[in-house]
Amino acid sequence: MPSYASLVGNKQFKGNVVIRIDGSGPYYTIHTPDSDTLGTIVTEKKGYVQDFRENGQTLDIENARTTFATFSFKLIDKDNDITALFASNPEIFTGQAVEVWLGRIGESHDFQDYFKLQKTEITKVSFANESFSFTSTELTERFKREVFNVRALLSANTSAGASTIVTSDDISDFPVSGTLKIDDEFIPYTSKVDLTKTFTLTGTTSAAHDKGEDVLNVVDVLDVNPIDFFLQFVISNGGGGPFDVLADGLGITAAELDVTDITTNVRDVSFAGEKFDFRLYGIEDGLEFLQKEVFKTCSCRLVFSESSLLTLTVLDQVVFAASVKRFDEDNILPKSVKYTADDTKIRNVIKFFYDYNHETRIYESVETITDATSITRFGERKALEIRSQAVKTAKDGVNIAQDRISRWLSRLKNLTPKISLSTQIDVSLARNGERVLVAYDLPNEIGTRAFNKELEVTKKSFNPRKGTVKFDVGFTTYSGLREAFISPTDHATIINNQSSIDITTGRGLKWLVGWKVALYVDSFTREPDAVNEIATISGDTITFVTPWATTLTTAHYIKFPNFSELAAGADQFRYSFLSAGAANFPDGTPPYQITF
Amino acid sequence: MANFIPKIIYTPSGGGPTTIAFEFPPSGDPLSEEIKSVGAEAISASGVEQFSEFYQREILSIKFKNLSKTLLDELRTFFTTHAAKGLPFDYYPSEDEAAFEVYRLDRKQIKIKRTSPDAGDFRYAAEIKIRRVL
Repeated sequence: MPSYASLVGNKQFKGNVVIRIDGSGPYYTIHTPDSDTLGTIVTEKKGYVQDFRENGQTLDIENARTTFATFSFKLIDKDNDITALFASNPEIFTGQAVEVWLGRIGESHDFQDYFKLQKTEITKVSFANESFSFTSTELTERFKREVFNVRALLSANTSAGASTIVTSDDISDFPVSGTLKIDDEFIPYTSKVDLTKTFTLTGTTSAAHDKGEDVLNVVDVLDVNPIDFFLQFVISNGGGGPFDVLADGLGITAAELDVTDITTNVRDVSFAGEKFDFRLYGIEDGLEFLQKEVFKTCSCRLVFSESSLLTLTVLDQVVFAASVKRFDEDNILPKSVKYTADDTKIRNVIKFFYDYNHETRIYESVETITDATSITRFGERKALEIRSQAVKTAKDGVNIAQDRISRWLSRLKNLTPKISLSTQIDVSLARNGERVLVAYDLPNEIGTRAFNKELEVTKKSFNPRKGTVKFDVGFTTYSGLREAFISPTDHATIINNQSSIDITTGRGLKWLVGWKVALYVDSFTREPDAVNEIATISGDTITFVTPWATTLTTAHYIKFPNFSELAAGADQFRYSFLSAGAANFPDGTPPYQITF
Repeated sequence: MANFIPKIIYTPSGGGPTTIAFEFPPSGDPLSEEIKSVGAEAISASGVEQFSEFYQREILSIKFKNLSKTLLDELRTFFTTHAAKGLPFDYYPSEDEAAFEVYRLDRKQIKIKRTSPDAGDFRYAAEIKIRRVL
């Protein structure tokens, strides 16, 4: 049975959307799926789904307050079926979970292989023209609740030097020993008596405190990797699994997160070895806390993975690998393309504050980096200030601060365009934060209209019924120099004929149809054949437009030809080439520079 | 053998099934089908065509000539009490055969013309377009 991902490239299609509300009702469909081998759809309401759209999430490098994706869909009130649900539905659907599956009709697409989108909850319902319109929001809204916020009120005025603290509220939720926060004083205690609402302090208070002041429970999570902490903060308090270890937490089920992706592709790649010290108390909004202390500090954002699980994406990463998804003239809708350069987004001074003192409420260290070239070019701009309570000098804070500042400067120090465009459905699975290749008729840094860059998806909206996707894409880093990816080289493992070879298993992905290639007898010696072109790629079988004149053997390699043998603005220009001595390339651009 | 004299059976609100039995086959092509795919087209910059098909629709254009006043009134009642609201009805292309499909009136209109005098009244011509999703 084909997966949705394998079908999504078919551009003549009949799409299907299946929606279920509250996890128990009927399955509302546009069409009946081709098959349903497991018999999941017990009750189908066919033809009820009139429209469905995914309204995009926006990622902002400076603002960690990511907007969350919403779904909007319409269900026809056929035979008053939706109206009838009001009888047992005093909340009028709000807060109920929405499940959405996307599939194809007429392509042997079984319902079990449909693509399930992330769960959302209904936040708005309206009725007009015999249809109910629903808006639902991602479950990340559940992060917006108080956590690590155990507190009581001081029962009476207390003098400095007190050895006990008595509250007027219940203290049974406080741990048997720990640390209290009263005003700006942090006081350890060794025991408590719930009945008398009394804490016995390890020492004595150093300041007087007034009746009615908050007595907060303080939880220290020290020497922890920030991504591990994210998982612990989100999953603890009942989410299950190895990260359910803290005394409190958001209690999100571990199965709703792509823990493997977060640990393997985020923690181990971008934050390996980093240690933070978190001091948790009085958090009234778990999402706001994560945005400030984890997402912004680590340049991460919450997104959904291709398997519709919550994961993190790291912004402004330089990944030296060709992106898989390609936006080009074959899938970009021409009237949709808009290129905008916004001068106000430039930052050339970045300050990173850390070593937060919870008692004085002061950040005791700051790292500042400026970019002289950018200041010369654009003038000094207002500094971007990042504050992290959990980064400490003792835990390599200087290097962490410098790493973050360098990344943000790379992204923000130059005037870089934002590109908005709409595409056909074949690239609709590109995720927010994912790097994609944009090759299109747009201005580039060398003054031609052969734009060919790897950019990051910062916004996405999808209309699966029409099959169109709106994207905003932007630069992660921008040097103004030619990029220099390492070009592929492969030798023939099987000679099918003079126009077709097989290369090493898995290597077919590294080549693209339309690329120019030259024939080499070993890694360095070029055969006299003219430059050829790749006509088709099927798995690891490559077929060329013209039969090679030289009799092919398994000793032959295919490689990129010289820079001068490529057409102007060729897609292959983003790979590295040798220039003649120190001379510029034929298009006038200088040789490469190694930058940091 | 099909006689191509059509009939319509519909069930008006609060009533039982009602039949409009025509007297003659439609004028010209008895069905005059139009099959249409309804969907969204998106063409890329290089001309790669994408088409998302929503559904296929069949439209029949049926022209009647020489309708009696009685039959025309039945057709008017069918329109005003039922078809104008977008409600479905069974259309039999041949009243002597059991085959029928469920249609709705396309564009919610019936065109009527007077063709000739007939015993103090007229004979009428009417054109209806009906449609169904395939």
